[in-house]
Amino acid sequence: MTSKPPVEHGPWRQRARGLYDKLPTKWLITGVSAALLGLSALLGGLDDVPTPPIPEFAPGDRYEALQFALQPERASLIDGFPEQGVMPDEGNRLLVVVATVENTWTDPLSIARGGSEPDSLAPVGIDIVGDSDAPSDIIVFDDGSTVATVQPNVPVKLAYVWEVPAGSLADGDELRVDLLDREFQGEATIYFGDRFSDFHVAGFVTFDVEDLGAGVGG
Amino acid sequence: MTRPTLNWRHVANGAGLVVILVLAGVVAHTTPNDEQQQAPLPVRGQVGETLSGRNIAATVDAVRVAESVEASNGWAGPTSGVWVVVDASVEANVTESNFGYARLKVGDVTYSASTRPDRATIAATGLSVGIPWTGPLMFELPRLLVSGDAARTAELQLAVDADPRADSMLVMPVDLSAIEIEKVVETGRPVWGAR
Amino acid sequence: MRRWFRRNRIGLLAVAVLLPATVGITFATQWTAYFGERASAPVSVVEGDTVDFGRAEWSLESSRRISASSAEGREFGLPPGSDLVVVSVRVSPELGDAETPGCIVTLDEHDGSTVTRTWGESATDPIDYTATEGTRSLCATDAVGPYTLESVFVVAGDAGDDLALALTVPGELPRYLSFRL
Repeated sequence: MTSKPPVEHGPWRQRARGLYDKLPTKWLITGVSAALLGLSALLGGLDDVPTPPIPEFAPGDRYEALQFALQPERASLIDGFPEQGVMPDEGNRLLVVVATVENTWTDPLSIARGGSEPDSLAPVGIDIVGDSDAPSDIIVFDDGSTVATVQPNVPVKLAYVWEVPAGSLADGDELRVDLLDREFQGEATIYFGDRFSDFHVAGFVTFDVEDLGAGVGG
Repeated sequence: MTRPTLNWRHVANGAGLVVILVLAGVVAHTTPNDEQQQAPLPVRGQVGETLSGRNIAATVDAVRVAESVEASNGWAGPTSGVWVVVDASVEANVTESNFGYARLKVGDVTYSASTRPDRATIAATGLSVGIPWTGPLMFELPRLLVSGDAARTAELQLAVDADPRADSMLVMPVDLSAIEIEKVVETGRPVWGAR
Repeated sequence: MRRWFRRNRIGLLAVAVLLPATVGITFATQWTAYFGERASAPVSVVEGDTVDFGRAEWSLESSRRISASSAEGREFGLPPGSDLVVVSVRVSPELGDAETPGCIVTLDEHDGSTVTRTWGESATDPIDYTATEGTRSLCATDAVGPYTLESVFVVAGDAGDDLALALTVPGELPRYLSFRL
């Protein structure tokens, strides 16, 4: 390797180089970055990303979730289902949401009820008597059986039943019911089943509640 | 540096390395994954044969398909699909257990025996040791699936635990597409005792 | 080779002692708990013996086996291909402040010393058997004196003759009573 002697520049070039050496590079970079950030803040670049609004479904629309497709029909208030043995405690009534559910998964689906977390429908804004927001019972509309297993690709009309205090809803009230969904994570290795995550509200329906005053037939 | 010499030790090392790599590859590829390690142990047979696993034994007598079912307790099976009615005789082999797993597998999709008929079906019934329960199992299937291609290689799976992993599972092939779809099928009352 | 052994004898001795000890202790801590919670140590009782166990005295009074095809079997409505086994055990609990012992009863079919099949009591089975007067169907936790425990089982007709009543008193596990019938 050979070395060259430094090139001699004119006096103004030397001064320029001197200035360049004195320039605080770090400060300059910070300053420019701050200026750019300020500019983007002015233009709205630092605001929150707007979350997409939760879609609204009307009774009769088909809502498609990961494991099932649900068509909500109506919501009613009744006193009880004596034939199925589903009766509320004193001072309470039953909120019934009728929906047609079709399992679009490859295994039989058990709809959450009782103490588990709700997995398809959850009424919003009213007190629910019980351990969780999941329906206390799920009744098959056609034959009155209280099973909650839906077979793949066979649509079933189900009545979701929640126990609510008597005064919480009246005839003609509007009731918002959230439609829930989840993401599939994989098959569980320790227990038998699938793992899900990201439980979220994927839609909602607003019903006009009908007070039927007596056990709906079936 | 001196010229490297090739002697038998170097060759042996190289060959040994290759052998170990090949072995490692074979082991890695044939190690059973979680699903295979925990898979149920199938006991295969035909409809009509008596199959006996570790903790369950069953004989499937007949498989019928119908649009609606009239069960022995008066239950009428309303459905938008069809009912596959399996008449079977099931008993436990070791200790009293609940009949927790009765499924029909068509292609990738599995259907479980319905408990809507309540006492008119032997699904989810308590099994006695050595004394069989004979009765129907009813599976609700979509109509198109029963006549499709996948229905030719449908499988009936019976096991004791609702979690059938690592235990006996009785497996029987059923050709659903070959069974005529009847309008109504009547099922008998579940009977306890040897036949 | 021998020199290597001699030079390292202390280390090798330590390994020879500690390795089995580690394995043994690890297994022991896991498996004693497992076996301790299970009915795994039977106390055999033959007819005529009286055994003191779990704050009571137990003796086998009688046992009988009724086939479903016999007249009595038909009367009881036994399912075809089954036998009814009725076992009576005399219990004399120690009276005092504490509750008299409760129990869980099953009928085991043996093949030598291994249990091949087990039957539970037929409390909910659809048969027409009525219990003998004066006997109890469950161990009484509120007994005021000796009583007879009658246990009823619907077993398979092909169950062998080597049957034993396994009586477990919670609290006495892993020991349990095995009455040879």
